Amino acid sequence: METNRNFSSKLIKALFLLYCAVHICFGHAHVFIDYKVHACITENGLEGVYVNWTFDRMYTQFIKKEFDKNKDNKLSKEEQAAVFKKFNKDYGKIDYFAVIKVNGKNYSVPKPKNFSARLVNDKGVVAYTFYLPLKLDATKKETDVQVYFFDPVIYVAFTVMAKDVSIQNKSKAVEATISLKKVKYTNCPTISMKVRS
Amino acid sequence: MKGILTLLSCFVITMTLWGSDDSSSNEPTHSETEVSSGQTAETRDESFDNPFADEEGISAPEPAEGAAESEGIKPTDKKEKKPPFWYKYNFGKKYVTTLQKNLNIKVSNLVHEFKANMTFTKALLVFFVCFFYAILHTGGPGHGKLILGTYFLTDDQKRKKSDAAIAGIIVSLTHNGMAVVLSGLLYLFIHSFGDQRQMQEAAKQIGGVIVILTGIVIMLTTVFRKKLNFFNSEKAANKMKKYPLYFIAILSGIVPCPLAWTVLVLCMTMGLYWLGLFAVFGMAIGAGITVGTTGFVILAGKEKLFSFVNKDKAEKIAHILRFCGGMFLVVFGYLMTQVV
Repeated sequence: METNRNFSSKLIKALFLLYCAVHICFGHAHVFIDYKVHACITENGLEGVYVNWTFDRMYTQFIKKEFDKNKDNKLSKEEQAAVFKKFNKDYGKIDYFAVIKVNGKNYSVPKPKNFSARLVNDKGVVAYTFYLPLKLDATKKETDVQVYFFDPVIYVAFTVMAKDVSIQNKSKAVEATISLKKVKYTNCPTISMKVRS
Repeated sequence: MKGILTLLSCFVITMTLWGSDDSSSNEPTHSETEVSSGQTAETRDESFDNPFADEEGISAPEPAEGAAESEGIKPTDKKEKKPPFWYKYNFGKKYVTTLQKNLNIKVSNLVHEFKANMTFTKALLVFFVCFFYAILHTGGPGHGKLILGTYFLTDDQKRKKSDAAIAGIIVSLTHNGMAVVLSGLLYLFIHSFGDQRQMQEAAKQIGGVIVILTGIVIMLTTVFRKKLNFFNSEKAANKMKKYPLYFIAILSGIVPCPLAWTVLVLCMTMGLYWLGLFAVFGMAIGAGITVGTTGFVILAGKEKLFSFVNKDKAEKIAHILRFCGGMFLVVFGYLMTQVV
């Protein structure tokens, strides 16, 4: 009886440790980005999305050191152009970490426009903003468009909260909503739109 | 042991609660349009101004590739970016990521506080938070555990538990030391720290090649063991017991620790060089504990496994295990080099 109890206790401890180990082992980000998505709807459908990335304070130092050449804690137009160049060079080949799915099917990722980078000095963080021109027509059937950011090698952890997704609708013909849906491994901003009957 | 576990649990809980208030501090303070999630056509705005920035942004001068920009997005056959297969089964990833994010915020907050008010207590706090951060962080993939663990598992020498501790220290000192050397050299000679992710990718490729080479060496020494006749004297056997372990430990840690690198850069850009080194030292001790514990658990498990079989069988099993371990390293190293 005593042996059985010892064995059960050891087993429970071992399983608990294994559980902890498994969960600790698989969370391994080095850079943390909070992102926001703002969808723009026109008469035709989804015109595009504005995206905002806010980096963590530690990684911000890398960006500051690299690009704030005059050390005025601001990023001038020239400095922002340098950030954009590097942004395209480094992240362009991996589609800017973006995944775009329309009704579950993978779609190409367009080149970002209207890029700006700024230092939010009171928070000590850097934020990038850009626009992804999607130009996707709405149909009478409901179309679900998922736009999210994900690093498959888990070096960068992207986080989005329900309050960080928003929508602007300029169309009376198209009905559209945005919400946060859970996919297999991450939360994902989902835009649902359809032409009003 | 129980005491350490309790202390660690308390720290994890404290960090989760302590840091949670600050997680919202990452929010930028720029103006935002008052549109909310789920808003429909009836309550729309009239413009598509950038809701996140006041100024007009920069666009690429060259036209977008393909027709994506002019005609909209198109379906693609491009392979979907998927995380490793185990990722979707890891139900605690959100918690661990949040915990690490809180620690990340806490370290940077403490460094900023230290800059404003340089006291020894604040420096000590940075040291301890970095120490615990490293314990947790080093549990993740990489950081030399795989090579060292496989070596311990496949090694046919009778090892003491203290070997695991020594190896853990060597791995973490090399791993964190390389971060200090590399960031120092970059800072001194090109006044830049480069792109962290890109460098990590390069480091992963180098790491992959090291893992493949280690695997090949293990396989070859298993197959040609008798021909090589390493152990023709007791002295040679003793040498063989120590040196390959040290060599493997140094190899395991040769890829610089990205976390130590980040903390160091944070401190260096603020002119706090000594604090940076102090923090990295704390991280090296923390990482050493995790890596050493991995080695210790593997050695203990192996000992227990072999206690169930007789000596002849144990030797055969060790032989097969060693070869399979080498093979595993070759495959894993190859996979490492293939990751985007």
